[in-house]
Amino acid sequence: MKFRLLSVITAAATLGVSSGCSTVPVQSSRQQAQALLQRSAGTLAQFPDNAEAAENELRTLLAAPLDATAAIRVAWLRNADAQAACAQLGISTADIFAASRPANPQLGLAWLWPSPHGGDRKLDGTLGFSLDDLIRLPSRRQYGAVELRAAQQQLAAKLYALALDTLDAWLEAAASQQRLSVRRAIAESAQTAAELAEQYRLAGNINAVETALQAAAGTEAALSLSRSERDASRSRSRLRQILGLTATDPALQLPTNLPAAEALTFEAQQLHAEARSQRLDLAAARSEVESVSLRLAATRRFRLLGGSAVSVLGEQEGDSRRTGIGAGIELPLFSQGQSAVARATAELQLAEAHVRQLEVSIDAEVDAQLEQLARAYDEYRQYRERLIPQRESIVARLSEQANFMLTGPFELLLARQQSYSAYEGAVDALQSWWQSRVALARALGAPLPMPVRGN
Amino acid sequence: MHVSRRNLLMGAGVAVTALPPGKTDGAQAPATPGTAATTQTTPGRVTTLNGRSLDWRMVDGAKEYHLIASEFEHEFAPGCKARCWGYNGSTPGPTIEAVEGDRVRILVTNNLPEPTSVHWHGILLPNGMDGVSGLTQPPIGVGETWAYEFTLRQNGTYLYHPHADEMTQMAFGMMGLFIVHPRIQHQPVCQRDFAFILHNYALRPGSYRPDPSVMTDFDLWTFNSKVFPAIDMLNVRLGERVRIRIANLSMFNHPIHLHGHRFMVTGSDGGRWPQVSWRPEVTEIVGVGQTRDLEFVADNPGDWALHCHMSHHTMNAMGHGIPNPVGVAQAALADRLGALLPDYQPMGGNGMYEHAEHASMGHMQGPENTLPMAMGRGPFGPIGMGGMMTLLRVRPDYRDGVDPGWYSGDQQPRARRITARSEADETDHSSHHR
Repeated sequence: MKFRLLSVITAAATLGVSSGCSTVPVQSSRQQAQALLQRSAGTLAQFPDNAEAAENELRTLLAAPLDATAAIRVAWLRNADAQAACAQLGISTADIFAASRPANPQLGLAWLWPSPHGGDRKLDGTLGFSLDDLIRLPSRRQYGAVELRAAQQQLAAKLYALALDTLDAWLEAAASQQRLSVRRAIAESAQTAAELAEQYRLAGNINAVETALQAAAGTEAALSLSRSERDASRSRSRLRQILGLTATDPALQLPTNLPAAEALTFEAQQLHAEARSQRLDLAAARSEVESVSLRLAATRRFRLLGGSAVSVLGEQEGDSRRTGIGAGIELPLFSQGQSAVARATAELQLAEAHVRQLEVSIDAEVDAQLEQLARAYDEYRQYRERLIPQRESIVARLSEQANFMLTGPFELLLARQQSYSAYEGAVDALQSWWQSRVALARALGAPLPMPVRGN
Repeated sequence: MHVSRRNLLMGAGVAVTALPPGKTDGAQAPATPGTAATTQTTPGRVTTLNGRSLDWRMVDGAKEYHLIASEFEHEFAPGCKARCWGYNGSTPGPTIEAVEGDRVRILVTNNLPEPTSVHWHGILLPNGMDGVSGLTQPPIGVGETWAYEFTLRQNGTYLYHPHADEMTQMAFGMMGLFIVHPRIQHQPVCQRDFAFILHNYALRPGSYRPDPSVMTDFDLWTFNSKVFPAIDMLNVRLGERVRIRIANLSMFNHPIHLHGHRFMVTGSDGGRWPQVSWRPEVTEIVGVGQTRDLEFVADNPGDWALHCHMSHHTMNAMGHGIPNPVGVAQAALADRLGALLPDYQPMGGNGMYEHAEHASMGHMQGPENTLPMAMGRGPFGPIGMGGMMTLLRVRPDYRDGVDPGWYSGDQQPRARRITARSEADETDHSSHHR
């Protein structure tokens, strides 16, 4: 008996091994997601082998002024959402791996002792296999592979979106810092005018109203500076948050200037086509449609195949030993799998609707961001090529007039503040350009726009 | 406008050659600014500062002159030009000189973009020759040439100017002197006879055309449309009798003051005054639309200022209403101002002398086409003036056509320093009652 039972277990184990007993391929699944991300992010999406190397890299990145590239690296290494998304792929991979394996055979054993009234000891053994599971296995593996691809695409899409979110936050923080430096200069100019007015007042040359006007302008500029400091602080905190930095991490250093904008020419129709071929989330949605289609087909094919099983039976009673086989099949009397087919059909419709929704939003977003990008660049160019030189020219000409006693220092200092305001407008326009650039990349699923140099 | 020291060193040996009587060319360009009126006047001829007299020819028994009104570029002093209107390419136009009893015919061609006319200010003539557009004649249309003809029944210092859209045309510089000499020379005879017109221009700093809408706030105060130090100097020999004829077509009365001499006011646009009416003065107010003849013997050698005594008329443009910097301690803020405004030179804390000094040395960058408010440099430092100012230079050995240079005055006493700065600083002036 022992020998025979052991042979049944051995047979089951052999079947398991022969059907591909292996570890769950979480690591390779993540590597495939990383390969997908590299299509949009290039070598930036190569990650350290271990946690220690990651920490070393983080320390190096945070020790220098944080450019946009470094910010994305830090976010990928530290952001908890990124880590959660990676973990989620592990769960999905495990689930899909499990679904692609045949169900383990059921081994049943029963010992019956003789009763006080007589009879022999009885030993029953049963080794059962789900026939239904074995029949459906090839289909499950087929759409399981597609689902795994979709999960990898979703992870890559999330990491890509995180990179763009990080860029947005980095741009806001860097722009806020630049705006802050402009506001500081405006406040210095206004404060200098106020202190100069005090000197004029002390000399007896201007009255209390004129002095108070300059003092009030100085105070207003100081208040405006304070608001800018709040904005800069808030945007810096948001950046730290998205980077995944904690209070124990070092303070952020940001570049003093935003990167330069550049003239870009796009063909909208071509961009629509590129977006449909590049967007990872669209690819994931299409993979979802594919896997749901396969599942629906399998559901239809095996709709009459309910729970069915085969088993090998063994019995020993006293000296009598018997072996045999058994089979069970579900009779489709009350349900012929209609609900499963209906559900799978609805799931397919849902997945297809999701694809269409994405396609529509991609087209709209691409068009909107193209418009935003063009206008922001035009504004930036007008600031740089017209307003700033115009304002600087006014300061230069007024300085000449002041040298010849044709105008006073207060008008000159006010003109200086207006010239600084033109720089602030240019920073706003440049930030808008970069944000549109990032939004367009997001809409296109295109390679990341990587600002690296200050302007 | 950058004013270099070289520009301000006036009278650097450049002389105007005498123009032969009655043979001047009315189409010539005005004399070079910054030169000196150095030639002894031929009796019966005047020396027009920075200008010339108009040529004539006898036609049908009349002296015929030709004035051509047009727009052109005029230089007030090196570094400041404007689109002005005038006659025969200059403002003022060339001086018309004639003799009492002459019959004169004056052709006027209008090359301006609008109609004009010419009024002969102070001349006694038939009503139809008075040149008041719309009143005594139709306007002279664009491109037209008209003739005025009359006999001169007086002598004296007179003017000509438009009487059509006067506000614009005179604000742009249309004017000229009309000198009628007596048949028999007045006694005592003057060896030098200078003439100029007082005027004002609203040439806003950095602009290139005067603004005719301005009534009081002018930028440039001129002798013959020039400002110091570009106005010709009056060079004379010691002991010569000098006449200075001054006409005023500006919007202000001007007290014209001569240093070092007492003059007699001998005439006006009413003609020569009887000698009993002459009065000695050192300052004579020349009212708007008036002329005055001043005569004196140049008996005091030296360099003598001749200028309007309204101090704002002896300077160039200055902003009115700008905060007064005098007494303001700007030094404490100098570094911050320098960081914010590197091209700005805060000055005036101790008065405007510092400004004049920098301007005279050409150390300051001012607006384009704009003169410093105070300029000019003499042998002892910055003169610090502008506008209605020139010099009477009296020399015992003056020779026509030779620049006499600055007056050395070696044999003359000169103000001297009594204490050096360090000693003066130690003196406690605060205890003095004032």
